[in-house]
Amino acid sequence: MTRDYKKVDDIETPPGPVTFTMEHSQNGYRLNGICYSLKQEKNRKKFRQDHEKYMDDFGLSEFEKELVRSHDWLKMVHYGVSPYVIGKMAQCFDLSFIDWGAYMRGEPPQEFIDRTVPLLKNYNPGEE
Amino acid sequence: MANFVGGICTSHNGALMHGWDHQLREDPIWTPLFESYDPIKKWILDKKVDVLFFVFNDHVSNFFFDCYPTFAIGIAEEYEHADEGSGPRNLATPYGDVPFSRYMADYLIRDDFDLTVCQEMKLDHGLMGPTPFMCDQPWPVKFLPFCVNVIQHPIPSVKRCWNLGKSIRKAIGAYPEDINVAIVGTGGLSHELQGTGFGRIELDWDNKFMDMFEHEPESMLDWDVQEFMDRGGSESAETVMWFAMRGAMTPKVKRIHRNLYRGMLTGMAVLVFEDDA
Repeated sequence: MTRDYKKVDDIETPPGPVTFTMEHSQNGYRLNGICYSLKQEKNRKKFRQDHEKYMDDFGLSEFEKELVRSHDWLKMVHYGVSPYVIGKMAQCFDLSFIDWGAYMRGEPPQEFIDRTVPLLKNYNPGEE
Repeated sequence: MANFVGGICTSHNGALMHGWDHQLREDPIWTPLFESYDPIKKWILDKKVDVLFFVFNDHVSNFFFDCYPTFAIGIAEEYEHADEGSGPRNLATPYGDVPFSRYMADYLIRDDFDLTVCQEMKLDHGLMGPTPFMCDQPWPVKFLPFCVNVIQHPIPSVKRCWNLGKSIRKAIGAYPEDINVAIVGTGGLSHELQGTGFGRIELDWDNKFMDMFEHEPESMLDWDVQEFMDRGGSESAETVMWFAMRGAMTPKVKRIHRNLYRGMLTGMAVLVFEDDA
C-alpha cells in the first residue's frame, strides 16, 4: 500500500526521528530509484545539466517532481526517500550532507557547523 | 585449522571517507581520530591476520530496494569500490579468499542462516570507511564482506546477529586451512540522520553501551532494535552488527583497545577484544 498524496503540502513532518520501513520504501520507490541512478557519473552529469528532463525521462509523477523541486528534504524523508540516496541527489544540487541535514533541523548549516566543530574530540571515561 | 585471533568494532560513518581522502591526520581536530586507529593497525599486523570477516551494511550503494537482502555474503576473488557520489575512491583493490569465503557461506547456510550469495559486490563506506585507518595499502589482509540490512526496517534482531557471530566462530574453528581470521563489526554508535533530530549524539550512552557490551552483552540480547534507537538515535540501529562480533567472542574478553570520538554527526567508536581464555 502506498499513500496517495495529492500535493507536497500534504506530507506531514512531525518532530522526531523517522524509521525507514517497507512502507516508506514503497512510497519512495521511484524517488529512491532516481537518486540511486545518480551513483553513476554519466547520470549525475545529465541530472546537473537538466534535472527537469532527467525527471521526465525517469518517469516521475508530477507529485514526485514537485517534491524534488521543493528541496524539502524533511518531507522527502517522511515520504520515504532514504537519507542514503538523498545525499546523491543533494550533491547534484551542490548541497553537502550537512547542508540538507541541517535543513531538516531547521538550522542554518553554518550555525550547525560552528556549534559542533568545537565539540569534536575524544570522550573517554576518566579523560579530560 | 584456522585461528580466530579476535574482534574489532568500529564506526563506519561517511566522515571517515572525508578524513582519509583529504589526508587530514595533521589537522588537530582529526588527529585524535586517526590516532584511535593506530593500535588496531598494529594489532592486525602483530596477529598476522590473513582475513578480516566484515559484518557491515551497504548504504544503497550496491543493493537497491528492488531486492534488498537481509543477509548477503561475498565470495568474490576481488571487489570494486562503490561510487558514492564523487566517483569510486582511489584505494587499493580488496581481494577475497575465495575458498574460505565459499566455505563460510556453505557453513552458515547449513547452520540455518539463509544468505544471499554474491559474486560481485561494490564496497562502500560501511566497510571501506574505517579500513584505510586500520590497514596500510596495499592491504595486508583479504576481505570477507558480509552485509546486514540495517536500513529498511524490520532489520535483524540483536539476538540474531549474536547467534550469527556464534555460527561464524564455529565455522572459523572448523576450517581446515591454517589462516588467522578476525571478525569486524561496523556501524554506530549514536547518530540520527532522518528527521528534525538530525545530528543527535548521545556520548554518555555510547560509553555506557561500550561498558555493557564488554562486560554484560547478554543483558541486551532481548532488546528490541527500537531500544537502541531510543537511546542512541535512529541510525544507531546499526549497533546490532556489533553483536555479531561480540557473539563470536568468549563471554569474558580481554580489551586491547577502546576509544570514543565525537564526530560531526556520529559517536565514533573503536574497540578491539581478544578472547579471555
